[in-house]
Amino acid sequence: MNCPDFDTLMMLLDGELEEEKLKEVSEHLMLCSRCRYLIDSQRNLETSWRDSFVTPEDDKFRSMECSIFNRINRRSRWKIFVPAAAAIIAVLLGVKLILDKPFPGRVTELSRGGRAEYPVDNVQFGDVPEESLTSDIDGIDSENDVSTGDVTAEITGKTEGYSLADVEPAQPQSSAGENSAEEHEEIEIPEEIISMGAVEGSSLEEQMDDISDIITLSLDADTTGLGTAGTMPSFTSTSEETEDNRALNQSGEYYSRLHETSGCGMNASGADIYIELVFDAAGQPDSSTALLLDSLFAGWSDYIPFVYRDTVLVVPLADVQELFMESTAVPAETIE
Amino acid sequence: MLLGVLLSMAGENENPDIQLLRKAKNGDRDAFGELFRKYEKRVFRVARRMCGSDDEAWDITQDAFIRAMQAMHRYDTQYRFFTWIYRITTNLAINYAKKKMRRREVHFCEAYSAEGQQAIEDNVADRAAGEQLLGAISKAVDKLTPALKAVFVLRIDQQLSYSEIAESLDIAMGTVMSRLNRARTKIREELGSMLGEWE
Repeated sequence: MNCPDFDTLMMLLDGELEEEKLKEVSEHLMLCSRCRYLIDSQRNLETSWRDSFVTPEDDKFRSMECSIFNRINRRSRWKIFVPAAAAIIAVLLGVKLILDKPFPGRVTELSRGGRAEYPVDNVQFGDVPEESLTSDIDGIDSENDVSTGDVTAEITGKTEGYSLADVEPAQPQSSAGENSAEEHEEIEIPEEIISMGAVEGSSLEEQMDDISDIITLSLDADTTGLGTAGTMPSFTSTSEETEDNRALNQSGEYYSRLHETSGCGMNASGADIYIELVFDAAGQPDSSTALLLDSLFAGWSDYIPFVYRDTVLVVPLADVQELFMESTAVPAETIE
Repeated sequence: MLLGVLLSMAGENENPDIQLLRKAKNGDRDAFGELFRKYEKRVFRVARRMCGSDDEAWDITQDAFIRAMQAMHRYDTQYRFFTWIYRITTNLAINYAKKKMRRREVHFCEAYSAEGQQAIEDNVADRAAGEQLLGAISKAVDKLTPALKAVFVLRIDQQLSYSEIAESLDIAMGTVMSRLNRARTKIREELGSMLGEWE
């Protein structure tokens, strides 16, 4: 009989040979010393190697047991803790967002290109030449005039309009409430006035971009109130304690607080309360304006005067609703 | 489907290891201790045989038990637990060895080859010296590829049957046999004439 191959002999060694094959190979081994030695040497080799292993002391296993168990438990605790912590943080952030939402810090509308970002605190009305309060302000000749663009404005009824082009660009350092009355040209504005500023012409935009992103306007119906220029004036309530005025005062106080915290546009002087309404290039009120309007009357969005594009309106608080309701009848400054 | 679920449940009920595993996973310290003590030495031994040092073996042993806990949901209860933990251990050891080989790829082979050959040649002078021969065998085993070594370790050191090795490594029986014979052949080739007297 020929010697079985190495694989068969190893299977015999491993006890994996089938009965019939086992008998056959066993008979061969009785006769073949070479195959017998091969198996013996392999067995010795493997047994020596297997028996040579030195198992570490039990203490090490016990130490590892504790280590593994603690690690597994720690991971389990984290699996519970992390989602819980994430949920708590999410709730806190949500609450903070809700609380912060009514107080946006900046207004970014006004310019058609959306470039003129300016803090509402620095927007004032004033420095308006008397000429600009005429029904036709084309050809305004002012030292501070930065505009050469065509400006049109109309005064109909109680609406007064003038262009931002007539407004002197502010120095940033002087717009922090340091302007004195002497620094501003005193003007007389009718008791009930809606002042409307508009930017017209691309040339003006470019010039405005050149000078500053901060635009300073000032407006006071009461000429003695110019000291508020530079920062939004604090709210002054109406003196007469009529029922309407009490409501007005309450609203004004709200706006005053709102302005202090968020810079939402509002002007007040003397006995009148004025608020600023800022409309973007699409004729939509900016976020601060929308917030004010929300507080004034419901459904204002149904009467959005789309004609007020790139426009800042300064209107008496009491007339806002009327302005919106009759917006189609109010001539407005437009750009295009 | 229902039959499979029932069989699975029956297998789980008959398998005390999986019950220990589940209890341990839920924080039962005693259950974990019992399970760990049952397999700790075998797992360590496989790890130590597969890798080159005690430190690596401890790391692999620890990782093997942690992974067994984490991957408990993947454990197929129709198989024996020890084959599963062996599979985890050998896979960890193989991955560990591959990483190590990549790190030392340039210098490892030459140095080890020369060293191993020298050890074998040295041992030729004194074939009766068991320790030296053992050293040569160990070095020859270490030179096996991880796949061959895993089969060799499970068969020779753990004395698993071919079917148990196939189950542990998730390979076919034929693959087990071919790998085992290749491993043995390579070891004998490494030892060379040191085995002459046995033959």
